[in-house]
Amino acid sequence: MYRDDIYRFLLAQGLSPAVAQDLTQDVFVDLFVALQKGTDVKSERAWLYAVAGRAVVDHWRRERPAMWAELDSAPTASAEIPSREQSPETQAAYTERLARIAAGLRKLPRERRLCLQLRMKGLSYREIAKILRVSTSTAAEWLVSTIDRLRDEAND
Amino acid sequence: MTSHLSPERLLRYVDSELSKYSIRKATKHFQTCHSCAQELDRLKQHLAAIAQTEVEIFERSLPPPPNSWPRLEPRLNAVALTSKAPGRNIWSLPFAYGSALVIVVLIALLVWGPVQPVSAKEVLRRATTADSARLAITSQQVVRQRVRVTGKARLASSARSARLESWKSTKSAYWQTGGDPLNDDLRNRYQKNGLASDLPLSPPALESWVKLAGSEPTASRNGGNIEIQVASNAEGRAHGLEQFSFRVQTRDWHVDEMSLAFDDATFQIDEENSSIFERNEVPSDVLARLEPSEPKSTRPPMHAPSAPRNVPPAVNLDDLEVAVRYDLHQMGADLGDSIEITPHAPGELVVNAWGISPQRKAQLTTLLANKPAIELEFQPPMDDRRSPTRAITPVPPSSSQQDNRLMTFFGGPDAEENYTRGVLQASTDVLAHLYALHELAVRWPPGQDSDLSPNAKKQLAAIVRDHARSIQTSVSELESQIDFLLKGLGYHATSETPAPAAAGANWQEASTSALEKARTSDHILRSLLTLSETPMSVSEALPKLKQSTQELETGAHELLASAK
Repeated sequence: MYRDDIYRFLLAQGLSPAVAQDLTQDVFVDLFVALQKGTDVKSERAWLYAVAGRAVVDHWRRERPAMWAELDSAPTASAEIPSREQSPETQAAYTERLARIAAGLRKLPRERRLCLQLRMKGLSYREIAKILRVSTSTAAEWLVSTIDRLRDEAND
Repeated sequence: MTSHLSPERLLRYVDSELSKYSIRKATKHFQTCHSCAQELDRLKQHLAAIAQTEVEIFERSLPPPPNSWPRLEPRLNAVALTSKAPGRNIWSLPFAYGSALVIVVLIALLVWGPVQPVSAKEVLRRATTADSARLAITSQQVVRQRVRVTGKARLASSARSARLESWKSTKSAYWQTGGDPLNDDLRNRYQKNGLASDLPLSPPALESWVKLAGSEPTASRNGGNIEIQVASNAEGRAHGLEQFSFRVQTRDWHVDEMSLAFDDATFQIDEENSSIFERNEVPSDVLARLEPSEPKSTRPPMHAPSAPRNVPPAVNLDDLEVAVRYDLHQMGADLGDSIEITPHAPGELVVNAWGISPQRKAQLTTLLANKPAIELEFQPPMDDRRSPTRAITPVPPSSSQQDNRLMTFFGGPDAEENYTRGVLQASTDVLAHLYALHELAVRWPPGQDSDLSPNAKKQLAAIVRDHARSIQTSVSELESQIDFLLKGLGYHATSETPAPAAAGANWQEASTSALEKARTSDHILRSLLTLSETPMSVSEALPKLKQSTQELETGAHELLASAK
């Protein structure tokens, strides 16, 4: 559950499988050290994502040149996506819509993408801000503008 | 009736990133502002689409995780050994055992994590902890919980639904059942189970029903939620309970839905909202019912009764509020102006207006500024970025969502846009009256107008009647516009006269029901004609549109009948 989730989360930030694997291990070693020190870890899941998020930001800082998240394989909308709507027409429209959102996600600056994903993992704005080393209001502003941008992409 | 919420506040509302006070205000606002309620729905749908894209498209495209993690265990051991370095006094035998245990737990987390089931007891513990914190109040506060109760007797052919408002202080609880038999039945079952002083959806209720059912709870994941089920054992069944289940949102461990299956009936309880109020914000009649003996108990028994200090002469705030609402209604200020009326500390009514026009401001000042016991406040608009016309955004001609049948029928984009604006305006008119009525229905639920004077009752009835008549007129207008579209696109449904008004329905329920129907119809229209988060094709939309319009017409008839 956690291991694969963290690994996938790291991959989704544009990291290579080898780096994602290394960082996943780092995250769990950090958890081990924290538990060993008696740190009060209230939610392992949130804690792991927070550490993973920080690991990604640290990794980016070490690897300065890349400015955009480049996923290894450009995701494409699958015809098998189950739609909540009934008719084939609507289902096709919905699939197309998800494909446009996916394209929008792919074009996001990596910090924005990480910001959005951390929100989707249930982290608070304050936690997200700490990971991204920005203010809470900046994190909120990033989320709003990112979601707005994806909405525009979806409606194009 | 408050000013619109900014995109950031909407998102913060969805993410529970607002203060309790702001959440309460926003929740109240959504009940009366159609534009913001729609924007909230759109945002939620959009967020759901993004989440689905992540799961269905991105995660599927990622390379699979490795099967084994051979380098991890040595690293964990190395960290443990580093801690054992000479000179560190903390390393002792118990500490070594502790570290070994942590390693084992961690490895188990990594290796067996993927197949670990959800622990129902842990979920229950987290849910009760989270909701206890969420509903925590001081002695100066009161919680109000609004739920939708859907019940079905075992032998009945269909389910019934009713709204239930309940209040809880630190001392007791009061369920405003409105005399609805469904609510009364549920309350009796709660009382039998020793839950007389709790809210329908609350940690004590959860724990108590789990305990009564008696069996071990089981958990299953369902998207972002966890469903907990408890089938009753023999003892639970002896008390008539067959099964108890509830839904927990894993995001914040909040329980927002619960089902009780008894041997003779089933109940589903869906939370609409829960808010915390300061005592002075709670209507006096509710406080009186919540803690009926409190005023007497605080008075020294040996002293002669004396006039309360610093309290103005007794004012029936309910009467005063009806009078103000009546005046606002007469000038049409209850149809979308951002005006909020709140009973305030002792004997005062606060009328707050946000971002209204200078003309309206002058009207309000003339009407209310010098009236005793009324505090009139004007506020600048909180956010003007969303104009009232934003909700009407016809599909541009180049959009891929456009259906050729619409374009062919209208003959051009201008005609289509004109029609769209007209029909959506008619729909918005219907909604504006229904939202105004809904606000009154929430303020004075069935049977809760007993404290009003005969004159106030008359005024309230007049407002309700006016809205009901306007709604019927607007619905007729809307229906004729929709019929034009249906016929033009070749959809022929049998012409049906609306069903007769349901006997005995009160205007509060009738308006709530009609509002739901109007929202459905409005949603279909926008899905068909505008850039919508949930686009619909012509063939899909037309039958639904026909049906929803007929239902709305019936709802308008019922409303008018109940208002008379």
